Amino acid sequence: MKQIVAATILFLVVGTPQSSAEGDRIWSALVLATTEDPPAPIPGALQKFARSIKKIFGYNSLYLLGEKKRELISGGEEWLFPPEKFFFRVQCLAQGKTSYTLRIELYQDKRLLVTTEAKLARDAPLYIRGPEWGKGQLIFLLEVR
Amino acid sequence: MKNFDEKEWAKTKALLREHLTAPRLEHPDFVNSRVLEEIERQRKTPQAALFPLRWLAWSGVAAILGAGLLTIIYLPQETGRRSESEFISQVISARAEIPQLTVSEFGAPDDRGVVIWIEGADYIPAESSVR
Repeated sequence: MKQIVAATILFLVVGTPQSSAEGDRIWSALVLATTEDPPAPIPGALQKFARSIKKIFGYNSLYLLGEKKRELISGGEEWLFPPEKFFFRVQCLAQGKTSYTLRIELYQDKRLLVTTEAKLARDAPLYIRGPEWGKGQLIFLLEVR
Repeated sequence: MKNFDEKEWAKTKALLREHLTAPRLEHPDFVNSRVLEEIERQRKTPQAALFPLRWLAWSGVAAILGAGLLTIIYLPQETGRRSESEFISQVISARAEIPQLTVSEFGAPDDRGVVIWIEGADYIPAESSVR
């Protein structure tokens, strides 16, 4: 009986489930996508997005121009500057068990381009097709981690 | 010398056969039952040795059941079944703040993500920095 009690206490101390949305962060990145032959190597931070980006936008080479990560706090507001020219204002409107409802504003040189309200689940990114730059396309990525 | 030993040994064996008999058991059924019990006991002993930490397995099972019960009592919101849509990002609304832009949205084909497609943004020449 003593062993059962001890094992139960140990299990509870080690294995108590944490709140699913505790300590989450929002990661933003500015990516330049191009088509090259042969394709350029994909940066490590973009590996998991490369397949989707190719399917959605049709580009096979990606360059990470900037990235930022911030804490997500319900009711809080964050400014994300992956680069200086483009930036996001992110307000956390609500926090669910598996997702956050966010108001996201995309700025270019302090000029507001787009406002969106989105429910972002963890590890389920938001892709934003930005302007074309040179021979490529700018893509913004936002992901709750 | 050898012949003498063999002869003596044969003689001894004959005497033993003649005089050395097994003592008569007073309660043969009782003795028989004890022997059978001992055989049965020895047959069972190796099975117990196969898993001497049986208590540990039962402790683990009890701990898991206890943890599950406490989770249901104290964290009922964690035990409900979640729908797949809870793990998919969605755009609730999206609007362009500049007349020249149009915005549309759709689900990403391969992952649980979502896409906002902006059309009409000004082209940025390659020589302009975006960083």
